[in-house]
Formats: sequence, C-alpha cells, structure tokens
Amino acid sequence: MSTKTIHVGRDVRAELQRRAAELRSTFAGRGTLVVNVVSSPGAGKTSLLQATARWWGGRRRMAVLVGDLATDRDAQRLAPLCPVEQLTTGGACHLEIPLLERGLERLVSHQGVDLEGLEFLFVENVGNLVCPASHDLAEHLRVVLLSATEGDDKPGKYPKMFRTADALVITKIDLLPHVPFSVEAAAEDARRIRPDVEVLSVSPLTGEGVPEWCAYLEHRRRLLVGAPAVADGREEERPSDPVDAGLPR
Amino acid sequence: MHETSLVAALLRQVARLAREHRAAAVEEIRVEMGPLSGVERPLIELAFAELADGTVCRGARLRVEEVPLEAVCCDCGARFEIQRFRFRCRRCDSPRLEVLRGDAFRLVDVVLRTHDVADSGCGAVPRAEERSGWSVGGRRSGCDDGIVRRGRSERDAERRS
Repeated sequence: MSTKTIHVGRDVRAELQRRAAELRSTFAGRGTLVVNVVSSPGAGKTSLLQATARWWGGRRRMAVLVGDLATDRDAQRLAPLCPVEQLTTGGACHLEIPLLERGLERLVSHQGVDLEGLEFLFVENVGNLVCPASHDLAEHLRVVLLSATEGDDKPGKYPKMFRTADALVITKIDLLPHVPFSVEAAAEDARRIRPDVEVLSVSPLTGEGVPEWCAYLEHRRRLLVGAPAVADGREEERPSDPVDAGLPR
Repeated sequence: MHETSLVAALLRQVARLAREHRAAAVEEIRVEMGPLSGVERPLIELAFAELADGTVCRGARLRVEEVPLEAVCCDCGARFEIQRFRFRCRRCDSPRLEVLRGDAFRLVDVVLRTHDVADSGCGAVPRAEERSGWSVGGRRSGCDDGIVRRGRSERDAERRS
C-alpha cells in the first residue's frame, strides 16, 4: 500500500457551472436574454413580471419559468399574459440547472414556445435571499428585488446575493410615503458590495418605473446578446400612460 | 439542505477519482471555503459524517480549510483581504477587483491509498483535471471576478468578439 495525492482545485459545483455556461452561450446565440429574478418571498417578482408583460403588450417575445416550493399560483397569474411554466421544487429552496432544463422542455412542448425566437426568458427564482445566490441559472442578468417594506438595510445582510446581482430593483415604491425606507441608503449599501450595480425603482401597482425597467432590459439585451436596437420597428407605439398599457391602477 | 447536496456531489467526485486511480481507500479529502462560499462549516462536517458511510470515503478525514476573502485590484495590483464585504481596493479605492479566494467551495485535493501493483497500471490514466474539462467551469484568467461570474464588461466583450 502507498498513498498518492490527487490535486483537484475546482469548485464542487463546477459541473453545474459548466452546464450553465453552455446554456448561457446557447441563449446568447439565439438573441435571448436570460434574466434570473431573485428576492425574498413577497417582494413582488411575479407582479413585476406581470407589469413587464403588460407594458410590452406582446411587442417583445418573453417567457417565464417560475419556481416555487408548492402550488402553481404564480404561473396562473402570468398565464394570461405570456407563456409560463411553473417549476415546483417540492421543498427545495432554490432552482438549479436540471430543473430549469426540464422547464425549458415544457415551455416548448406544453406552451409551444419557439426558443429560437424568444427575446427574453425570465427565471423567477424561489423567494429566498440566501440559497439562490449560489446557483448559476445560465442567466445573462441577475436582478435582485428589494421591496420598500423589507427595510433598506438588507444588502449588507445578504452579501452573496447582492454581490452577484447585476441590478437592484426597489419595488413597492408607492409605499415609500408610509414606510421608513430610504432608496438612497439601500442603493449605497448595495454599492458597497457591488459598486457597479444598477439601481432601479418600480411600483408594479401604479406602473411607476415600469417603462424605465423595460428600457433597461432592452438595453441590456442589446449589449449582452447583441440584439438589434428595435427588433420590430414598433418602439414608438409604446403607450406613455401605464393605464393605457393595461397596468393595474 | 444545501450542504447535504454539496457534500453528496463532493463524495461522487471523490469516488470517481478513487475509481480512476484504482484506490483501495480514501485517506483524506481537503476542501476550501470562505466567507462567500455560501456554506457553513459545521453543516459540511455533519453532512460528511452522515453521507460518507457506505462509500469509498468511509473513514476518510475531511479537512475543511477556512480561507479569507481575498482580492487583487485590477487597477493598481494590490492584493488584500476584503473585510466587511466592502468591495473596493484598499489602496486606490478602485471597484475593479478579482476575487482570488473565499468565494468558492472547492475540492483542493484527495489523498488516496493505492495498491502498489494495481497502481502501476494507472500511468495511462490522464490526470483528473485534464480529463473532465474542468478549466471550463473554473476560474478564468484576467480580472474576472470569481463571484460575479459574468462581469458586465466581460460579457459585453465576449459578445463583441
């Protein structure tokens, strides 16, 4: 008997990270921007995606994979607006690549989505500011939502999540007059961890900030997956009033 | 929950190495973790104690090394420890940093006990890290931030190229 030392020196999650990188590259080649939407439960991920789909009103080809421990409530909310598949994790606190891959198959087989022509794929993660931070879901953009009712001190408390997020979206800003939440303080705390983080503010309820959010997504898509500036030339048809866009009042 | 699945993945990787090198047993497994690894040491150790039984890793020693969060500045080259998750250079205040360690849960190395005779046949087996294309999922060269795996400028550059 003798011993020998085998040097490895790689992350235990490397295999999943490799699969995610491959998938990301495939989507980029198709012109699809993959957006991983993360937040604590109830921060408004589904509401933001509803408002996004309403604002685009079919002008952008989007689909959603939405993860939850149980129920298809979120998918039911989104189904009238865009193709959606619910990913039920059965207790797991986050989504992983194998589940995402199954969801993609179902988007094609159950919803008739043509992945080649998709412009935006949103992956609405399980509500959780901890575990989803460690899992690459092939996204080009990771967006973390922080609602005004949660408190502006959260970025520093969940460093991994806010470090890995490309954008911070403050939600429920219609409540700002009623809660002690400072958008500036939250942004400053997030920038300490991620200096180049993009900060946006929205209220899916009133529609405030939704056009800016959608413009941001389109801008990122052009930059990250090289999509043309105006794919269909109908940019100017966008209604300026959120109510006209079918947003809830 | 998290740690259990990570340790299960770790054990599968070590078992594969043990098979490839025709090891009789695994003596030691060394892993590295840090402040942004997203894992807790006691939970890793507990999961290992429970899951190693019945595998080739039974009786193996798990050495968990806790490393600080370390970065190098892409602008001035300073190498320093990131404290309190303030991601700016301690010398020039630049936000452009490459995290060197402390953000991964890494399998560092494995000590295998091998039969000397059987071992002679292993010469043809390529080194494990050459075999599996590990560099693909591993750290990239240049000032790629290890945590922000797809830094904005990098992805833009990738796209343009």
